[in-house]
Amino acid sequence: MDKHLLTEIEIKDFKCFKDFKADGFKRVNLIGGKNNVGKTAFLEACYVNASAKNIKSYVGSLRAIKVMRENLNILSGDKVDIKKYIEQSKNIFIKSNINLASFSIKDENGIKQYSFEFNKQHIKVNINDFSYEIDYIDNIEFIDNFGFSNGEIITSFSAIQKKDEELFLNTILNKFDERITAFKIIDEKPQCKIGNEYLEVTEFGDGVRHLVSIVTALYSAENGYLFIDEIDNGIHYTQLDEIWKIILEVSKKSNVQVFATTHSKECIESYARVAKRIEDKDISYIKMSRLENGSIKAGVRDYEMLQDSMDDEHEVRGW
Amino acid sequence: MVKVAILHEGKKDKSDDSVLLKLLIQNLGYDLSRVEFFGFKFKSNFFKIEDIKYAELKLQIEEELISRVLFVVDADYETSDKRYGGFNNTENELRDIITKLSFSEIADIYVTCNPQTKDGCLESLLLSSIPEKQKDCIETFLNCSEFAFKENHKSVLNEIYKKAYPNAPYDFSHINFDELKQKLHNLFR
Repeated sequence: MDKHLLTEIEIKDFKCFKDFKADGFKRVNLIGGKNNVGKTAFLEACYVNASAKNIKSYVGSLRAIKVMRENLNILSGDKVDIKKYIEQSKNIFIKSNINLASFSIKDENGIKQYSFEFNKQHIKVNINDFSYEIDYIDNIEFIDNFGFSNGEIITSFSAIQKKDEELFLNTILNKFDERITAFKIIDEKPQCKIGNEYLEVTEFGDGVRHLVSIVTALYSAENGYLFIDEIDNGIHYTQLDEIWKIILEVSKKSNVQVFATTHSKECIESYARVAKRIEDKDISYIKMSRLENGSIKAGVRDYEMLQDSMDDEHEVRGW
Repeated sequence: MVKVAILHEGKKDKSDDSVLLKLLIQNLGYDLSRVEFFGFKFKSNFFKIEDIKYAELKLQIEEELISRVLFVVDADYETSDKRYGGFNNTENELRDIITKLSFSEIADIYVTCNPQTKDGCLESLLLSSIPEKQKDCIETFLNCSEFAFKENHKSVLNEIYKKAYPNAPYDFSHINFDELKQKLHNLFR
């Protein structure tokens, strides 16, 4: 197994997770479960853990997950106060096989300090000296349920261009909507060609943006990680097999570990079906459940267990 | 909804065991949707702690989706399998695997057999619930015919039972079904 793959995680005091552990993750991982059981929070914890390479990227990951949650409010004029959010995020502890990311606020002799631990480093910074500068790791991508912004698509698309895979993206888009024959960045805007004219991606349904986001991110996250919230958002169930085929094949080629969430039974079935058809066993299905005592449990099923559950028609979404 | 699990031989939804169990559960007035069936295909799979069905069952128990478990397994014959054949061997080996799985507090066992002879399988239980005269006829036929192999024997018995017995498919009022009924009551309690 590739050393960069996140295979186990321990999360304490992060969002809905008080004391949570799970292991058995593979190259591609689909996460299911009922509403408000922590599927997105699980993605975010993995994202923060993988991103915490230095203080800037650590703070950048915390900001990114806040911005994604606040997308609609930001559109209506709200601003994300990163200082306030960082302070709300104190006592985070996210340990995986690849990194330990913890953050707390200490008060020593009346001096308030931010205490970070990541990447085998322990750093304390006086709050007054903290710059709140942020950075992002290039090959760690997070697609929220809206898909990438135009700017993010443009950045990710350049990874496809570097690999000369534009035709591949065009073919996928054509399968998704046979009217689309090409994708280009024109006037710094992602556009799809229909007939003789190019239309901005915003002119299409959510599915096109989501699909372009997923495919481009699979290239830009080479040797890294891709997190996709509500993978089937805007995508008709008849297209799911094709999308899973792309994810499984390109993630293998690009050496990208994928974590994706869904609510849909069709999406889980499609995932299992395609993995079986192309004989890709490097997958897992993670079902999140909230137990009676309030704690959250992740039931991790490997390829064989998932296939057996599907054959026996066990309910894998949770009931 | 917290469910109960029934572990049986054969394939899920396709075995005679699951058909009988479903009819009996409905006959007792319980909701079938409360049951998750796990078809272990062959009896030998029950004794493999690493079997994938156990992995799924364990997860569902840990996820608090399943609260109780009933093993329904054929006794078969000690003469054909000294370790796992026969009522006592089957029960003892099942208890052993249940302990290893840490299911002792939530699991129960029903060994399917002819309650009088304490051996056989589901079909032996069915035959034991029909009148002696008709049962003798069937046994005489089997003894005189070439249906000696176990799997053929089971399916032939089942077909004969369905055609020959006037209360077919099953007479759940017969005393020989009482133990299984009690096990199911306990499962759903």
